[in-house]
Amino acid sequence: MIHINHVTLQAGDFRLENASFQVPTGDYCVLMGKTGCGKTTVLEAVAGLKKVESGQIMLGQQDVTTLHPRDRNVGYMPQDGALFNTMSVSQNLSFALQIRNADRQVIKKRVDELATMLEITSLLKRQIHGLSGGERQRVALGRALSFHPTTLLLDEPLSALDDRTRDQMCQLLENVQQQTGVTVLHVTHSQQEAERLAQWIVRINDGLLTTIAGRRPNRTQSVQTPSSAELAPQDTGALSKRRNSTASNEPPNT
Amino acid sequence: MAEPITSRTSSDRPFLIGLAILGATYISLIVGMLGADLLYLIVHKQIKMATIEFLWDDAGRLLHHGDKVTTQYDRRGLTIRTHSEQHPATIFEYLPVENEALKNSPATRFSTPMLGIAKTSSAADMPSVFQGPQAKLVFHWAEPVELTLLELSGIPINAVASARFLDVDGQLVASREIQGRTNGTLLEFSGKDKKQSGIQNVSGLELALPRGGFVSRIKYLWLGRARADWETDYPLLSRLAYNPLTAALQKPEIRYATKLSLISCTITAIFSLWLAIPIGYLLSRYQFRGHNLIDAIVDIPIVLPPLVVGLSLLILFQFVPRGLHDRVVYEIPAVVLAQTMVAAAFAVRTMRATFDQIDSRREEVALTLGCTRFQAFTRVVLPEARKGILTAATLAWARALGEFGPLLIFAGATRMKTEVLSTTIFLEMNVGDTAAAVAVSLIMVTGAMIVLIIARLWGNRAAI
Repeated sequence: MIHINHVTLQAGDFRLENASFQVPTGDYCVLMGKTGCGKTTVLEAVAGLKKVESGQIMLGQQDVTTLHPRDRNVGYMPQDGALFNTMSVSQNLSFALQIRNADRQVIKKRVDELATMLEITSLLKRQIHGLSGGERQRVALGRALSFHPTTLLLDEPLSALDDRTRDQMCQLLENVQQQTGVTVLHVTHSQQEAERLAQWIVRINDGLLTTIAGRRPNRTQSVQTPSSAELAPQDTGALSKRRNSTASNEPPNT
Repeated sequence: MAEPITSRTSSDRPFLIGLAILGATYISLIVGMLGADLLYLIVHKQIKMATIEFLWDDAGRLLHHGDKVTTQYDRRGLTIRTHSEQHPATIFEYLPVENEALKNSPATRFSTPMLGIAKTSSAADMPSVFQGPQAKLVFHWAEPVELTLLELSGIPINAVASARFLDVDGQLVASREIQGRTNGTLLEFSGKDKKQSGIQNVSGLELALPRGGFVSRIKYLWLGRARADWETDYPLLSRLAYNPLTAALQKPEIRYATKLSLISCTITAIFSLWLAIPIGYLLSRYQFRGHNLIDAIVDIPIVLPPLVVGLSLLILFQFVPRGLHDRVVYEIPAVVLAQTMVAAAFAVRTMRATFDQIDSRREEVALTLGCTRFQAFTRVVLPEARKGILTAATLAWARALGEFGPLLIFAGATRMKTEVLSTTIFLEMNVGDTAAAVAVSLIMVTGAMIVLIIARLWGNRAAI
């Protein structure tokens, strides 16, 4: 579960105040909004790369607001992948486990496992230079998943890909989510992606957050259908400084 | 009616030609500069002035009254003989006259030693001057020389000495008749204004002294060394083996300076990296109060006149404890410190640009993957900065090699102590030895080139 609880963020000119939303464990949430509306900043706050001014971020049952990024058990995949250029594909995949001083056999097994799941077995020995855009995204995804994180944060993972590759990646992301049961927070500005992948959609609009259910059935829906009232935006009314008004809208608790 | 559109012929040619001219001018200046150095070494004729005054021999031993002279001057290519083994060439100098008989014979008392012909070859006897029609001093040079000065004394008035100058094959080049005078005869062959040169190509000199007389001074220009037989057969090889460069490399001072330069530049490069990597990273990644101030401060050594850096260091060390001051100032640590002051600033610039180019996302990903900041820095950032680190080290090294102003003031220019290659050029130019200065600068060029090439090779391999 990702629980953003009345969080205030500041990054450059952009400011998000008193934002709240929740993603149930194992669900796929797409965070949408215009360019520069602070989607990435929210993601960074969850990863621990950006300090929150106030509020609380919960991952599962743990309050991670002040935790170091390494202690959050969060897989992060930034926009361009940000692969480690000086390492080979398999070194990229095994990096997190090596940092954790995992056994060599364990590392090898995990790398093979990831390569099979992401269909990049043939790339393992390759250097990062010369990988195609789709291949890079797969490697970056594998690296983010390598240490069995509970939460996966994707920052525009499909934006640089051509249509065909994007389609394949969408399929892959869906499969990965189902296989690993990881909670996904996916940032994009593409309506298409949101419709294809989202079980929940959080929109940021002028500092206002709204949560609606996506097209894909989520786990909760299979149990209970949230009432339309619960999904409608609720203005907290507490803050209406210029554009920095805030909506807190929570999906039903699991 | 619409005006007819005149077709324009546009051409980019003037622009491109302009670029080419400007570029070619600069490139040819760079290449020409280095080429001229090289050419200078090849065409440079090594000429050394030899002045023999019979005070010392070539090994530095003092000559005394009665010493026989034959091969004492062969290091300067000169051997001296006489017409006969029985009457050796001998040194005469001032001695109080004890023997009345000698008083009437030609003068043997001089304030400086002189070369004449002795009556006997026996060492025990007090030498007296041999006289006779056949009396002759024979000078022979291993290499043809340009004779510029010959000073004779003690030739009796009304007597005539004659000098015959011979070339390699024994052919007469010139001859002189020398009239005796009371106060000696100075034969200056080359004018003081250097317009008139001395007697060229002299390999031998026969000096006939029928009624006595002495040589007190002889000056000539020569190659500086006796050539081996093979050198006449292979002149090019000889040039390669003996040129200002090899001569410079044989000088102990220059060897020392080369060694000190190589070592101090390497230490400086290491120190510079040691300072530049943390500072560059800090400036590139973190925004904090005084960020801009620090950014400006690290630029100061770049914009400061080099002499000011040296002087300021010197003044700074007026305020440190005496023990530290004495260990640093005018000692080798001063060389490294002065070099580091400037070189590190360039390294900081380079490292900062390098870190700026490395996407900080990679470190952030590394953090989420379980790294501490330190681990992210050493495992992700440093490997990616490899090329920049190499560039910074190269730049610092090359910069340190050329450092001169601060060294002169802060470390001094003591030979065999704080003399680095740039100091050597200064010192050699000061004593007028342009050839040695050019040779040393070529050593520096070579060193810098090697470092540059190594950096390029490594850099490229890292990129692949």
